[in-house]
Amino acid sequence: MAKNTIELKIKRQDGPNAAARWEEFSIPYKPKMNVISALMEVRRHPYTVQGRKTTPPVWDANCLEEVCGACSMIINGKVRQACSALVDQLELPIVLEPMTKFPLVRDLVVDRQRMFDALKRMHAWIPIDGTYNLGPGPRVDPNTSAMAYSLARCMTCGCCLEVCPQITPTSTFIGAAAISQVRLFNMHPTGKMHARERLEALMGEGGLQDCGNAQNCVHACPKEIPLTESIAAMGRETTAYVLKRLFGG
Amino acid sequence: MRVFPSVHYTMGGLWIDYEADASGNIVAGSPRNHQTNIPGLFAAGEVDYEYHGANRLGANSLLSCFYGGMLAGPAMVNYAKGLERSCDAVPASVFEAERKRQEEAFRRICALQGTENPFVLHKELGEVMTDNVAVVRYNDKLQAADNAILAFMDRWKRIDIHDAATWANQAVSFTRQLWNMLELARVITLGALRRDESRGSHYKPDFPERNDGEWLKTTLATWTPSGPEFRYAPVDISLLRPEARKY
Amino acid sequence: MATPAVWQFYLRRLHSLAGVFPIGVFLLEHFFGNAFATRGPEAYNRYVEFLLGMPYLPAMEIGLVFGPLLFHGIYGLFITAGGDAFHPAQGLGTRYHNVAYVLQRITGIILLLYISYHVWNTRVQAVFFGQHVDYAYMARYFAPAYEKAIYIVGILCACYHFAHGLFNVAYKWGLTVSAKAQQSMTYASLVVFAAMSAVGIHILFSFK
Repeated sequence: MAKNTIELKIKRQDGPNAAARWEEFSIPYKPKMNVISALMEVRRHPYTVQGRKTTPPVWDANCLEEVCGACSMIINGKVRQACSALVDQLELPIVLEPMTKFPLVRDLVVDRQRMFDALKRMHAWIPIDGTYNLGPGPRVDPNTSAMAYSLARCMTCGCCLEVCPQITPTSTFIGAAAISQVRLFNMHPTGKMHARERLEALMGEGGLQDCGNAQNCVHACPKEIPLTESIAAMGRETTAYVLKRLFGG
Repeated sequence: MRVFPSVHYTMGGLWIDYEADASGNIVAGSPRNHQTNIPGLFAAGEVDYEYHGANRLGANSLLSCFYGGMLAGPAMVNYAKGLERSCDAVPASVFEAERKRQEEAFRRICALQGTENPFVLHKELGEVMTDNVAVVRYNDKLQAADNAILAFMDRWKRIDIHDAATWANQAVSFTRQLWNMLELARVITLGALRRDESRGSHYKPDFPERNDGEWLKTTLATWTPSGPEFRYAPVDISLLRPEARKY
Repeated sequence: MATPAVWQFYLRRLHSLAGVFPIGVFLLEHFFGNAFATRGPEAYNRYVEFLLGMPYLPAMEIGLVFGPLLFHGIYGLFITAGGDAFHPAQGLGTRYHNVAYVLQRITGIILLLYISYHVWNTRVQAVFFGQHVDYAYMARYFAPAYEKAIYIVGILCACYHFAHGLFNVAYKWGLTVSAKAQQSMTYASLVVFAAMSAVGIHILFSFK
């Protein structure tokens, strides 16, 4: 069946304290559209299906190739990236809502700051930057590097937090993404030098212990990162760390 | 899957300085490195014009990212250390005046109540640039593109902003940036129009050869109220002589 | 060195550990011992006498059973309050471990009520009110259908909470890291749940 128009239903909210409302839009169909190009079409003609003039919907996007995580939103009830959500594969009308576990900024934009704060607290980097040549880094075997690559695909998009029952407006849980990053940096030969620091942070407030084992994260991850394996691996690493601290060795 | 050569990178960017020693090598740590012509404003990475010339080879954006960062970091530190007074010593009126200027610019855009849609203008600008100012360039088409950009600039003033919110207003910031895009589009178009040769990603079928005699130089554009003003600076080839690039 | 935040880590691990030892071990012993009911009144009464004649009984009951149970139950309530069991799982559909997350919390709350009820009617009555608890008493006690219903629910909740708790412990402590190991542990926990439920309900119906 040939489509001539695409219907979109967008949850609008002017600000964190404003009331939410739904607005419907109809845009001309073009082959191979994604949700971003549909939203771009809406803002080029910001009138609802009722013909009422409205403000252009506000949304975030950046890379348009599912590597930055900025355009995460709930599309037809599923949290995912708008850039990789192809209109031809979606049921109509396309229903767009902002993620619910983060403070709302406006319309489809939320503030994922808690994720970046968590990465900072977890020391999720390897401090090798210098203004002089440090020489070649240590060699990494192919298996470790393949695993590291799969963990490094994390784009802090927020899908794993969105589906996690342990993430609430009042909880301080860092979520699967940051836990998995601790694993990534602790498995790197140079990153290992700060493993202790990261484990201490991971055992701090809102850390690994707050995981509730619902395992939704791994199924929501658009980059197919083995998040539940990371959580269990960090469980093992903290177990070993605690035993070492208790008994030495 | 459809394949199309999309614009991925802009060769060119903010002008930045560097300090070379007598042998032509860069002086690491000099506060001149990566400093723009606005004192204290540094640029590093894709935003600056350095390193790539007329064509950025694949993966070489990492080079400008890492190398530029390694130069710019210490340069900024040394610049800050060498300052006689910090921002605390600048009278509050300076900041206040700038704040007023920016608020005024925001208000002016919020007040735009014409008939044009900024996002439509942006799309049309993209189409004009892709059609006329991509890799293959003809002077008549470049001239037509510049005329089109001037027409867009006129239409920009008749934008209907649709959104006057003072919170997370993307329409206003987009419209502001759109004006800068128009200014920059003219720089790219007119710069290309003047350069009658082919070099890197700039290919004119009417001038298919690289012309080092006339055009081995960097195009410098300066903003003026009446449009970009062009100057040319020699390319530093003291360490490496350019050769013909053949694939 | 150990800030209050780090104590949360240790408390959570202690909570997890307590579920297996001593609570889980006690549960297994409890099932094993009560299974003497399947061998008739005499066998059951001998077992009860053996239990009552154990040295250090009050200390063991408080230190290894009631203390850990209270800690596990009350801290479990805090854990439940810290999450949102009925959150929307944004398009993931019904998934076992998400359901298990909810079940673990619901069975936990039911068990707090059920175990209080169970302890009141069997242990408290004996210790504080002089009720002689033996096969005959238990058979009389279990006779009404509603009582059987309560115990069936209680046994199923206890078996599920324990069995899925084994999965949780293996996951939390890092015993099962690979997805495959976690999957196997999930099946193993379901087998434990089925087997223990069958034994528990069989014991319940052995009091005639």
